[in-house]
Amino acid sequence: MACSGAQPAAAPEDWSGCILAIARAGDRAAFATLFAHFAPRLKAYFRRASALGDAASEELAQDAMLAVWRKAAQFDPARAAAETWIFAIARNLCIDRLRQMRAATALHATLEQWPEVPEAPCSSAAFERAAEQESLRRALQELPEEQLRLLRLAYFAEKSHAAIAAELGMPLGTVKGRLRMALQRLRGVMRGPDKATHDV
Amino acid sequence: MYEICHHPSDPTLVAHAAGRLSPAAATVVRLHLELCATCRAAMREAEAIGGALLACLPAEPLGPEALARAMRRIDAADAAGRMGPPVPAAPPLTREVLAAQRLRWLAPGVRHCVVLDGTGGEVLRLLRVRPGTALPQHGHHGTELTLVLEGAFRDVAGHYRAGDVLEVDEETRHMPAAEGPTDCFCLLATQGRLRFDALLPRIFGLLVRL
Repeated sequence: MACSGAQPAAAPEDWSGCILAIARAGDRAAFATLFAHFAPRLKAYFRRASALGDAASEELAQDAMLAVWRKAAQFDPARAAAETWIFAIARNLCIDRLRQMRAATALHATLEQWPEVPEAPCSSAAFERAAEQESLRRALQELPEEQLRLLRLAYFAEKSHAAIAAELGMPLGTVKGRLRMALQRLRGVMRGPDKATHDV
Repeated sequence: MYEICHHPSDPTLVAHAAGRLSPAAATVVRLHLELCATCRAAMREAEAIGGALLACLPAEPLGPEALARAMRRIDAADAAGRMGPPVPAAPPLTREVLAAQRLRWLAPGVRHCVVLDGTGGEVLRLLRVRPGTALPQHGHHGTELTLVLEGAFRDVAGHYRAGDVLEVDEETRHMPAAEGPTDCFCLLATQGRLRFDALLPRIFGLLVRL
């Protein structure tokens, strides 16, 4: 089970609505709703993804939620579901923090922040995003345990795929192959039954 | 424009969506995404999966007064006026910036420039190769990503033109060669040093640290 013992507190539509309410009116009750669901999960994310301790992970979760408040006006429900948008904020914070920690010597110490590549939004897109996210969540719960574990490691562990393979005692090719299988399945859910095999 | 035929692998796109690629590899993927609608769509899906995984993570207990603390920070930020986004350390590497880099002679028909030298052994470099020139047969210590910026090259797996990405892993040995009327201008992200088969390029690789 993907959401074992941790059922989402609100429907994803409400989360989008919360972010929009913050953008529109600085709605603090909406912020509190988002905070209740996402802050504890962001803390869990930062702990896994940055290998930082309890206090530092909670600080990053606070930073991420503050960024949600500040950037709410940039949220576009036609482009991403609420949790996808929050994930992107957290990921960028994490990249930033890891970069500070490594302090890479570079001609261009590029912060690989995410460029806004505009895709033409259509009126039904926001609805599609929400529906897509709902199917995704269900599909995650139905994924074989091992594929879900790999997926979580690929997204949240501070490790390369090679390091994950070494830790699990699997050949790298097997790890990548199973990741592909999981992705194909989830893509199938997002795209509908006909387009799942169109793969890169 | 030429239709892009070669893309980064799914695991690489997921690693990018997860923020797990080295800055060198992330730069190659980011520049490919600017040109490739197929991978932008795949990226959007990979991020949606990340969002769903995040929403389903088991919650970790927060310290006391966590929400009140967040609210106080919001108040402080409001009082201080709108806080701007953090200023990036350096302007991002665009194709224009890359095209303006000065390249040095590396071998007959080959000029290069190291754009980024990471602490984890990952290197981002530009390579300009004269048509007909081949790199010596070599292997890799980790994944290598090559984005064609201008011109073209061929490899065992096919022909690569502007916008295409060649991804090879440790199991691949290859000998890419520039082809076509103009120089092949590429951006390469490597992990670790290349492994040359023959002794001479091996010594050469040691000398120039390729």
